[in-house]
Amino acid sequence: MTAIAAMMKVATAAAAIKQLFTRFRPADLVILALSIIITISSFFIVYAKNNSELQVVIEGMGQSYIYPLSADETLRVRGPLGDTLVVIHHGAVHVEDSPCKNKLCIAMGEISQQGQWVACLPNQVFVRIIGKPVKDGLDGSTY
Amino acid sequence: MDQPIKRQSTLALLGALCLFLSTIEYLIPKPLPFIRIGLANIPIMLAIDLFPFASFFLLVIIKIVGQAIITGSLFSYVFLFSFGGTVASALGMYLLRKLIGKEGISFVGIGIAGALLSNAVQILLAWLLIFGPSAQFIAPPLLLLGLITGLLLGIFCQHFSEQSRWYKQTIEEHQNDESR
Repeated sequence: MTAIAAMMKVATAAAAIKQLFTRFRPADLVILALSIIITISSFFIVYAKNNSELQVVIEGMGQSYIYPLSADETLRVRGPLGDTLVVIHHGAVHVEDSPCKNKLCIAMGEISQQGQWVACLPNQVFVRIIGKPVKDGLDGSTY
Repeated sequence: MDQPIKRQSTLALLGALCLFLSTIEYLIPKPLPFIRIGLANIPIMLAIDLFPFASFFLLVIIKIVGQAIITGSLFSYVFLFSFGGTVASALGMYLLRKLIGKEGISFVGIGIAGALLSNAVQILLAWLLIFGPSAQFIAPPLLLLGLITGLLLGIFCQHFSEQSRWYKQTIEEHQNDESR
């Protein structure tokens, strides 16, 4: 008896759900479809793009900026000594100029792989690359 | 204000309901602070058919300020998000209902549209004012949750508006008030 009662309950619940969907009005369906499309496409746009692309994180004076590595930008980053000139070009980043004494940051050259970084300690500017790790690259090698 | 007495008391009731539901929502644990179920939007959705625009907007303001006081976010940047999101969704929902009409759109569509608008405006504000481009990473899960909660709240409101004797009676009494 309880099994039959349970089946009856399921049947009425199913009927209620079916009734609910048939009661949708035209604009409801349009908005529902639109909302689903926007939600699904937002997943693709936001996550698909940023998985394949490396990002440059630039930090200086308590501020931080994120740029895609593919960008073509010349940035002035404020530090205590003055402006450090960071250049993103052809998928690589380097420090073009910095008001520090030893210019180590300029000497560090270009970086282009995930995990690499360039820092100008006197001017408190820190540039690093984040994103997917390179699978078949070598960290280093000796002969 | 020169409002009919019945409408005033309905406004007070719905306003109090907003505060109550805000409290309930505040008590429900959530993994992230921006995630909202939007329980306090139920009275706002029900108010669309009950009030002319001025009273409706007053209810929206009551909801925003009341919720901010209850959650303690009145003078923080969270208030800005809450304000922008609620005003945008409330205006959007009101306009949709008035433009398309009761036969064209039910509370289900209104709820989904309201959640979408609220989230879109909040993400936009977060992008422009505080977090910059990294605000986009929160967008997809927020939109998905909004779709689900908007749908559920919409279904609830539709069911309520069809079943509730109080709701039907109130609509009739408001009409009588205005025709008098």
